[in-house]
Amino acid sequence: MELGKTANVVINKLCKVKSRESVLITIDGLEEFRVAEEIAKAAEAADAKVMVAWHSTPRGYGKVADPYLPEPLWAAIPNTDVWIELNNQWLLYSTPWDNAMKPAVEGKGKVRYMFLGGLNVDQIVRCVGRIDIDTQAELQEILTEMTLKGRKMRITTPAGTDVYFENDPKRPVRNELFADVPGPHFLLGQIAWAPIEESINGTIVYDGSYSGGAEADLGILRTPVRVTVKNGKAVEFSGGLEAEAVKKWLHKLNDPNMYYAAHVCYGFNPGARLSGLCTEDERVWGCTEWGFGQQGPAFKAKGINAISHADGICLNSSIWIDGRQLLDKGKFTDPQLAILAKKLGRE
Amino acid sequence: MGLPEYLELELAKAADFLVRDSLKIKPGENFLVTIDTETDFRSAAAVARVAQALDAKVAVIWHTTPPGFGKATDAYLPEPVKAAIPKADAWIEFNNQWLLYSTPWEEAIKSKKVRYLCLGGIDVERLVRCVGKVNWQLLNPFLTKVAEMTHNADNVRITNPAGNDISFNMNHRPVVTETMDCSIPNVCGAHAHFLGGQIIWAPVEETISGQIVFDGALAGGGEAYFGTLRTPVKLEIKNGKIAGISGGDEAKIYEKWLAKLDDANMYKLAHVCYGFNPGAKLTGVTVEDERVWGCTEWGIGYQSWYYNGKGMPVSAISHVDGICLNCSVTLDGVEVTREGRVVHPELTDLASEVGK
Repeated sequence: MELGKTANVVINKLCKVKSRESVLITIDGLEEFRVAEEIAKAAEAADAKVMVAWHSTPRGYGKVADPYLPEPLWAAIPNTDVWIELNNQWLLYSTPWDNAMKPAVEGKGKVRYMFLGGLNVDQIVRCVGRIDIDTQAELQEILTEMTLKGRKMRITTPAGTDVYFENDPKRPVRNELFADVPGPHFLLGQIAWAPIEESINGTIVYDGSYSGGAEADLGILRTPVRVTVKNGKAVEFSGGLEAEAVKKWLHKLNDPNMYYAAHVCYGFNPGARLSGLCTEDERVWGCTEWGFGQQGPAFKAKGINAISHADGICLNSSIWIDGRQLLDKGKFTDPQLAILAKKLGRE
Repeated sequence: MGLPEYLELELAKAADFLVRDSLKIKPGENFLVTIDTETDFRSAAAVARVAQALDAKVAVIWHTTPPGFGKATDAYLPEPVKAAIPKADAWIEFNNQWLLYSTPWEEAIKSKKVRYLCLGGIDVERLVRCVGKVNWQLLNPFLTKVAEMTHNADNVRITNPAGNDISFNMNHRPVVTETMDCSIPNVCGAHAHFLGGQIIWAPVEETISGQIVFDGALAGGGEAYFGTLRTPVKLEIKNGKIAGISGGDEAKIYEKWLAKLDDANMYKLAHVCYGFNPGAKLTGVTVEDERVWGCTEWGIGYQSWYYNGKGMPVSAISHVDGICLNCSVTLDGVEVTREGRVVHPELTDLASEVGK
């Protein structure tokens, strides 16, 4: 029953599906089909033309997936009005994704993409179905505005993150909630942007989880992975076995662009828990997340082109925007935001 | 994992046959399965698993059911379905409201790249009965012989106990035998394959005259999808076209449906078939019904370009199939079947090999 309600929220509230629109739902063999089925039902009830593509699971993310994807899927993806991705090994940043998203971002395409990659029944109910969407929208709106206006930023965590960077006022700050206009959209509770790449300096310590697809899908980390960043480039990895695994994997990919920071995000989904699934983890309340490698077109940044993309989570972040503290170890210090957080069941 | 479902093992065997032996899927090939919401998803899942085991790139498309067949589906199909279909290397269609003769289907078949197998509306039980349990090695020599005799005939006459009496000329039109070997094109050079146990061709259209009586089933898509018929539907045929429709309630609905479609080509006969699948029963699902042993079937409306030898389809908004049971077929005056039983001396032994 909760799943039915959740599917309804996805179709009607988040994707705002209209009658006779084509809705494509993609799901691979590792994912729970019930989620696709329920979202398809809600779309059918909304009088959409629905297609669920259940397909072979590619061995990795992004362009690594290209050779494993069935040709019919390549053709289907850019030809829909709405695309809801549920894949465990996601198609995000793959070539068919580019083919759909580049025109959409440039105002020439129609695909509204909603990324819900890897969410099982429990996760989608927690992170979508049970959220007070109106209050969440209010909170995210304020946070986005504050970030858009900010220039110099600093993020620290108890695990040792201490990173500085500058924002470019011409670049968008993406407020992830609705998929009501063409282009890429992601699970709610995330605010993402690309800082000026060369301005990123300091130490990022992933103490939550790390996800790079295939063998670099490390899930929840047993030992933190410490990344030293100089002028936007990862120059050193240290920590335990997992840090070694990341180093090895990056070496194997043999793509220098995989070492460049692509984006940073805040996580503020009241239902998200650290589960080892990146989609959920990067929205854990009060975390920050750094993505390296492929840089999506929606960031309107440098447009780093890399073979894949990796995301790591820094828990309980403290954030300063132009010297003013916004968050202290994952808790809002701003009184207005603290009230909204309380309404959403968080601090 | 749940408990095993009905015919689970038999389904696995039938799926294995379809993917390995019938479509001969190779590693790395793009294997597409389409299925609408009116068909049993288990069949789609079963063939997908086998193809995945063979290292194919598998996509199963489960989609909104259009309210009709053929080009009547075009407006109702999700756009990504239309784009996906012509990109496959092999495609099994399980749709109940089938995509056969729709625009994406035409595009796929004309590309000569897509090996297409129509199993429209075939659920698990039917798949097991009409594919998995059939001995194709024994059946195929029989089908091939009937097709050869038919191709060599000048004139064909078909009667049945319900009043069917129709004849037509062949003029060496190609006769397609559906043997479940979907790895090579049919005799017309098209990679369009259908459930085995059927022999299909387009007679010289203008020579088809007489009376067709559908006493088995009639499937026109949408509101004219009757399944099995309660009262026979009689068609007066003049020069390959329907000149009159009579019968009971179903005949009236069918007549109205044709008028509503408002397409003169929906009155033209497109093809005729023999049904010779030893597992087929009359159940109201056309793909099975038209293979009931000893029946003949007429297709009306859309006609594929590869049957008529003209290189161009007779384009029509949809396609209707009707079943005439227990037929007596004569080829140039020589009996092949009598009221559904095979009587030709060159065929009786082959038929008895498959228990008929």
